[in-house]
Amino acid sequence: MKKLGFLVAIGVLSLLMPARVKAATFDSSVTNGSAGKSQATVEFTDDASQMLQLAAAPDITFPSQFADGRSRQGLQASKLTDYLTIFNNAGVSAWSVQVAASGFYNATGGELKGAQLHIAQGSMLSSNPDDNPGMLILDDILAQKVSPNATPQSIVTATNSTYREWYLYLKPSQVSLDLPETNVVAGNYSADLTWTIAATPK
Amino acid sequence: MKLKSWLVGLLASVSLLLLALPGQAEQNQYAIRAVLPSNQVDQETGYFDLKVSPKQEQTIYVRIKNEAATKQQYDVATNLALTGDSGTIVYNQAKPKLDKTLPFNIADTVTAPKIVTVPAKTTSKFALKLKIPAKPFDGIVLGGINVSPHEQANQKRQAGVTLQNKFAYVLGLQLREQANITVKPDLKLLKVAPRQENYRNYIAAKLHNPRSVIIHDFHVDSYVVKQGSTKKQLQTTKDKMLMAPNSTFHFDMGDGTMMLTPGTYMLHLKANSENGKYKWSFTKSL
Repeated sequence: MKKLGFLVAIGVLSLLMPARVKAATFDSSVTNGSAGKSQATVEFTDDASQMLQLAAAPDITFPSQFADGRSRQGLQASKLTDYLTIFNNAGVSAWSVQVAASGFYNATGGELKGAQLHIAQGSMLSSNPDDNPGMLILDDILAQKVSPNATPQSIVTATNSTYREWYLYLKPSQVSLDLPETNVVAGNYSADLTWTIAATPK
Repeated sequence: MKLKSWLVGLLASVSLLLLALPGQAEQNQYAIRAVLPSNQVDQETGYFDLKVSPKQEQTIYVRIKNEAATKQQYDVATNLALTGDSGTIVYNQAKPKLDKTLPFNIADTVTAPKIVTVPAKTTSKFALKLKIPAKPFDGIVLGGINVSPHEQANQKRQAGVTLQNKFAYVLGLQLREQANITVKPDLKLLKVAPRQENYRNYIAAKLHNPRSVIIHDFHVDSYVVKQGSTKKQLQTTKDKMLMAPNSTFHFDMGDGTMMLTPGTYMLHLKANSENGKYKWSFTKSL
């Protein structure tokens, strides 16, 4: 009887435990005082929704410029849509977002040498600013200014975050581009911005 | 006269075709998560922090959730942790130059698939096999498991798109043989020299963490003084930095635009970590 109670307790506990293992099999002996062998199989499911997710990144638009050979310092973005958005359904307390930028190239592989993007320190919000303007959270989240290049740089670092949603709010005036004095060929120049969310030691 | 005006107008309109710099809207449709094993030191972290033994072999798992309506392929790469020149720990170098003080390259201990395919609207997991070297080590060895969408080699850039967002994930993989780390951080100044980065010129102090431990909350104050002068130049302060175990990085001074006049200069650099718990001070001529 004690064994039965023990098995029942195990079964109840297994339903309450946070699942980590996909499947476990218990090979247990007997019930109701009679000899024999039975097998209890318990399915542990891993909640796939519990993820730390980098959901969106800002889309940055700069105004068109004349290819007049002159340098531009601090050319401000004309438009920013979307926010750097992090969903933390995994309850991960320490994470960061790093950003890296490739060089600017045109369709024929010509490089806009020395072009440098700058992103100023933004504000971290715990809800979408389009839905809830004015919501500002600063605890344990560090937003940093960056000048992205090929080596990733941290733009946001959380050391003890308990919120489930984070939005990095930036104004267009906080994103700028330096263009060197150069004989640039007219056309579109493209760079990749790689946003990496890192669950790593801080 | 009319022809001249027409030509000027034409030239002006041609030169307007120039640096159109629009951005491209981008939403991310995948996420990953570490499946933490029983030898995980702290179950609250989102990364692997494993207590291991010499020669130990172990399989660990990572889940990938694909929210897209089509099957997706992802690149997987485990890399050694290094220090980027902005004072950030980075995990993106596939072929790093190994520091002489490094116990071993963590990437060499891991066997994993290079590409993982996940069906539409599905969560799958992939395995990474670890094989710990026979020689014991103190402190920690740190790396990162990088996951990013697989790109076809012939993938073309979209016309007119100039800032293209890409999304990547990195999960820390930290190995240790002691539950409590007793190794203390240390800092060395290896050299100071001019350095060019993205067509900008800096004076850079090459700093070295020779210990198998992260330098946390790392703060540096520095400047140079020309011989025979007291004027501080290229004064640079940075805080909230991190240094990876057994790594070096270039601490760039100035904003890349200021040139020093010819002469002999002396670097003065003070650094501390963990709110002043550890302190270092260096002077060196250049």
